[in-house]
Amino acid sequence: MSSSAIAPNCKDTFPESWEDFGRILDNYIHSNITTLDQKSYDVILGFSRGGTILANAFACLLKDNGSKIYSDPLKASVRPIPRGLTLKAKDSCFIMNQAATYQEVSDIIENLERDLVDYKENIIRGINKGVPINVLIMDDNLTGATRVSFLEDILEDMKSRGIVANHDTLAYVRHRNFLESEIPTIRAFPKDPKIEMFSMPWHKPSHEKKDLHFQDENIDLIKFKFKIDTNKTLDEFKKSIASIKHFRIRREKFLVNGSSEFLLEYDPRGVIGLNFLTNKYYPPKRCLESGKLQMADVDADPLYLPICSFYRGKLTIGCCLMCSVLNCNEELFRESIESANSEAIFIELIFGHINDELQDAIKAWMLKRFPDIMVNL
Amino acid sequence: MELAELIGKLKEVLTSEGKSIPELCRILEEKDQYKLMEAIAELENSGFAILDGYYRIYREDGGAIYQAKYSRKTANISDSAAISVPASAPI
Repeated sequence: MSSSAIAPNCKDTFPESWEDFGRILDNYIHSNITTLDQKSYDVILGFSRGGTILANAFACLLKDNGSKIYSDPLKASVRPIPRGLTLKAKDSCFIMNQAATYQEVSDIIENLERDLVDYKENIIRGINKGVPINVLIMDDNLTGATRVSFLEDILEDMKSRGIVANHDTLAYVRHRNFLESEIPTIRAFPKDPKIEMFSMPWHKPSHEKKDLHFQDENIDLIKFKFKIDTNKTLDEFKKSIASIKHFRIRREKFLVNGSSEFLLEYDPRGVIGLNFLTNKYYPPKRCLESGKLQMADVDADPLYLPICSFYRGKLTIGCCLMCSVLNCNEELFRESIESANSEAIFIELIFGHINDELQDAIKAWMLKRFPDIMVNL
Repeated sequence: MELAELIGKLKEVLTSEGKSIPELCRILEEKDQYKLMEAIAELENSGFAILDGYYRIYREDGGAIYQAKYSRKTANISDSAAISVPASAPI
């Protein structure tokens, strides 16, 4: 590992016009109209501002395409989440924390099912009244898939209860560094390797790039594990975690909450490990805005306790990553600690480049958040 | 692809040059990122693979995203620490 482990910032933005956007959508619909007819979408869900613009444009062009199915005025009705106006700036865990904002999470949990049931039972007339509906999730420029993944789980649950017949997901564009097979896209990310940002017509066309400015770019922390000794079986532990609404389980072994992906490890002696697997790290926007330590923000968001409040070393990516992992998984740690036997919780840190200050800061953070437990090095 | 087979193939493609999880998925034609991550975890635990750095990419609002890269472990990484946190009282 070297100081050049983080690539230099030298990329450009690709701005797309409204005209190009409409033409690309129309071409996609023309090329896929047979499949879209077969899918027979009743409702299109659009996330936030861009997703709702996309969903409405897609629905309009779908109806303008000569399809008999979509000529029905009720077909491809757009339902924004939550209101088509929200931005993602407020939440310190923003895109990392479920559906990007608490408003979206609460709208999905509290209102969406009622609306879809209302559509199925009261809005649709004739022979389709009461029949489970087909739903399409649309999002615009995906550099993550957290909120989509969260909504897919909700729709899957509705499918099991006969509200939804089928659901699919379609994004407009996805960054080339993400897996194409995970979410189908309407348009490919530009192939030019210099193009790093893709700007939709409703985005500000030339955003300034915002980075964390590390004072030491060596990769310090390479592994974080949270271990507890518990009387619970792995299944019992998973059930207790399932009560935390921000967590989902994947492949039976992964705890996922958008900011973090933990692999559950189980020792037959009863030790359960939460093995944090570093994959994608989305720094909080407020840290990106300034690119420096955010000591002054401690009082700004009582739910978020920056680790840099306790950190006395040079800013590293390990420091920022742990700040996110600790803050955005506090509920998980609390639930785990409640599951543990006494004297049996361990945090295991493995460093590429040793960082004693970070180790001390993690301990201090734990003491602040969990003052009733003793922390021993 | 079964996990054991994936681990074997991953050992072959991991080099000293770091690769992201989506890159490794593409190379191995594995569509399930979580299965790949499970394989990475196995190789980390056995000391074969290591977090090697990050790619930096940008969202449409200009905000950076850091994407982890993994490589075959070559250096002797022995600096480790464990913090024990006894739960002596209910939270």
